[in-house]
Amino acid sequence: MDEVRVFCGDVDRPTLIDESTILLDVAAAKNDPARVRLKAAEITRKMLGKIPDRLADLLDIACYVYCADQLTRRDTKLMARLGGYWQRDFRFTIAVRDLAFWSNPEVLSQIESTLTFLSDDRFAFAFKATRRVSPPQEYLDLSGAGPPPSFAPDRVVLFSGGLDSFAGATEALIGQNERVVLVSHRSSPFVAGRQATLLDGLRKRVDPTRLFRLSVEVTKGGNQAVEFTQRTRSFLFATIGFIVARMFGKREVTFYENGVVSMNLPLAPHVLGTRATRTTHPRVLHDFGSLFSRVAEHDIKIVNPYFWLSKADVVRKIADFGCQHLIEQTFSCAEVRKANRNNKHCGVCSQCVDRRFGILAADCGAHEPSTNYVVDLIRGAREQGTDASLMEAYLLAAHRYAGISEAGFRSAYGQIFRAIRYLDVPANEAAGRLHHLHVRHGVAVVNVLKRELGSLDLVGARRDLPDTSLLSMLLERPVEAIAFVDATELAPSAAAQAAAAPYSPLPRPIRFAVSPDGNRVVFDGGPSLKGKSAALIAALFEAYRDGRTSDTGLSGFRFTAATTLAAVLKMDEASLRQRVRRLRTKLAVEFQSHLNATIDDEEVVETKGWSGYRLNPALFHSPELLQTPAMLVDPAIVTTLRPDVTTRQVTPTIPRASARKMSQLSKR
Amino acid sequence: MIEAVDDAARQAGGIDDFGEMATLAASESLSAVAGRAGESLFGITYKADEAHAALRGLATEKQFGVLARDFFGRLTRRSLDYFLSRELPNHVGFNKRFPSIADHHRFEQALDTHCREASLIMEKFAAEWFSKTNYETGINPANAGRFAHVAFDKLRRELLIRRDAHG
Repeated sequence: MDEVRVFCGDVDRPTLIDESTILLDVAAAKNDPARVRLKAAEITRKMLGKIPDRLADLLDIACYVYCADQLTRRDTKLMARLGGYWQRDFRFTIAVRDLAFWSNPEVLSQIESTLTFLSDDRFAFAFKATRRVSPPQEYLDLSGAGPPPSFAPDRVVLFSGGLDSFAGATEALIGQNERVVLVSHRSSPFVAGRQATLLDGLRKRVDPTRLFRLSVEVTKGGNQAVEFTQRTRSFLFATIGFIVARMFGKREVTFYENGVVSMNLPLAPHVLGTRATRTTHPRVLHDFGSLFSRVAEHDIKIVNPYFWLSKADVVRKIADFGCQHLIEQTFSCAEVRKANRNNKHCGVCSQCVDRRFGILAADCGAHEPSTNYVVDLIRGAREQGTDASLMEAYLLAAHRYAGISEAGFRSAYGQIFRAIRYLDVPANEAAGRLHHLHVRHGVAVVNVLKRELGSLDLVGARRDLPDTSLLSMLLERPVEAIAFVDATELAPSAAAQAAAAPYSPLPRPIRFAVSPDGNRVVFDGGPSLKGKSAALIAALFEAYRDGRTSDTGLSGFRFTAATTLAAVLKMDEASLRQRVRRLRTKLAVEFQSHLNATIDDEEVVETKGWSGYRLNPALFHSPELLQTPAMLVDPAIVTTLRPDVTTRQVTPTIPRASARKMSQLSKR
Repeated sequence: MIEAVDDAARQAGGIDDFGEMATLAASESLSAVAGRAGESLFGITYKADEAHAALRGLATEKQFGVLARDFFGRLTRRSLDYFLSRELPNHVGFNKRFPSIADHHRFEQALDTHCREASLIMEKFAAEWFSKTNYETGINPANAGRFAHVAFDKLRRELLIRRDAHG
């Protein structure tokens, strides 16, 4: 994909502005198409006055990255060029207040690697000193009176209005009796309305003075968004949380997200990289924390207390804190625009599927009627293709989780190795707990299905169910869980397999000897050459011997030009090439039959472009082979061309047939 | 290991889906094959020396062959599944190729077996390459790349042979 140049703030704009150029400016005039508008509710000028330049820069950077993300199209679903078009190549030039800090190579590397892991895009940043003196409060669209003067929160929570963040808010407010700031990124009026309803519900449950909510809205410049994957959204969200935490003197920001979604292991093998979003992946939260700590010059933590919980666990928490009546007001659907029209979850996106299973598994189905979904989870018809495929993939993954062994889990989901070191528990324990978490999730889904199938009139269901409904994928042959073990679990250890392998790699070095008359060449273990083949090797032998004695390493082994070699062997060059080909074929046959070993073309005679031919310097000349041709490698005499490499001791086994041939040869 | 690959890939300008599949297959193979010997890849903490100790046994010719066979089997299965997984879910349900998800899973298992059998040829080839290359020049990114190129070509031909043999 072409490089996308993004010019941000009051940097010099390019003279040529083409399709791959984006102009963005948080402080631009109202009619400037480059304008990025930041609206903040309940953040006051006074609060912003506490924000140092470096944090204001961070907020600008996060806004620019988020906007450029939405203005640049990714791959289509066809995944052309093996996903090569999924990744985009961004080159940002951004005006900042604290140029010295942002130009530090370590800071540049940190921000680039953080965003690349989050989005799979390539980022390069160049920072310039801004000529403006305006602080954020000058260009932010502020509203609200801010918190009461004495408000001092215990926790800053990122609040999206989904099940997980709502459960976290209830736990902090009701379970832990904390004073909480809820920070929202206002992505649409519809979602903001749902968030407000949830807050009203919470205020009825707790002392309203313990709860304060603020939100930030970022709208792009004059151009319409073309990309809705928004992988960098959580960077903006976390940055806003960090700045709010700073305003209140806190050093921790809390994301609440269940571990199955946080890990987001792909449902199907074609979902690679960040096609499975990494919004709250443990490494992402760690990277945010590291970057923010560097910006703040003290330790900042971005935490996820719900990492070891499943969706059903999270829903149970809401019920446990007596807020089950608010479950149906939470909103999880990816199809916000459609929900804005019909006030329903779509029921077919992965978020809806996961949400509904979580609610049913937590026995909270009564608190959210299935009519809240356009498509019913269990019986609804899904569109053939994407929607039905996603449902099938979700079911298959859940059934596998339910019956997967721990070794099978580690061996089937290599993605877990990207998270393990960031989980704040010993690595082995982390791997075990990740496995256990996914098993619990799988079992919860399977149990929901078992319950639904148990309540079904099978004959009637077969007649009435749409072909693309969830149940129709299960009715023919219901299954409780799929036992899933990795093939290696059933095999002997690598050492045992190696010991039983019916072959032995050729011992190194390959030892050989050339008879004084040049008519015979023998190799350790039995392969031998006579006549013209032997003569070819003999013709190269002098150069090899000189190389051995020169003590100058590989460069001492000279090549013999084809013309020279052809003259020595009294033939033309074309015949020489044919002779070399035949020699190599004969050697391959000899090594295969005597030693059951496959050698490559360059193993004995090397060719190098116009330089000619030489014997492979890795060969080892052992004249005694002419007397005892069946002798095996004695490790004591093994030498190496590379003094830094310790040669291994290898004891080859010679096949019986080869041993017999060698014996006959030695009698002759 | 996977983070080292990710960082190298980032510095090299990113990797495509095949690179990601190879990265995952390598991590899974190391975990599965080293883990089978009762060794932990992690130890109590996450330290490179513990991982090295767990992997040391695989740095011999024949055990490298076993590891390579497992890796190429996984990568082949991942590569085929990369395309199949977009289509197969459409064939699950009443009167379809797979009456239920259990049948789909059985197909996936058969595919895994097919790929593992096809990759059997890699074991000896990889062991011999390891023996030769480790002795002559030492293993480096350039010769490992050439090895992978030849290995994939061998595997592709093996898959064609097996396809023809089974009609």
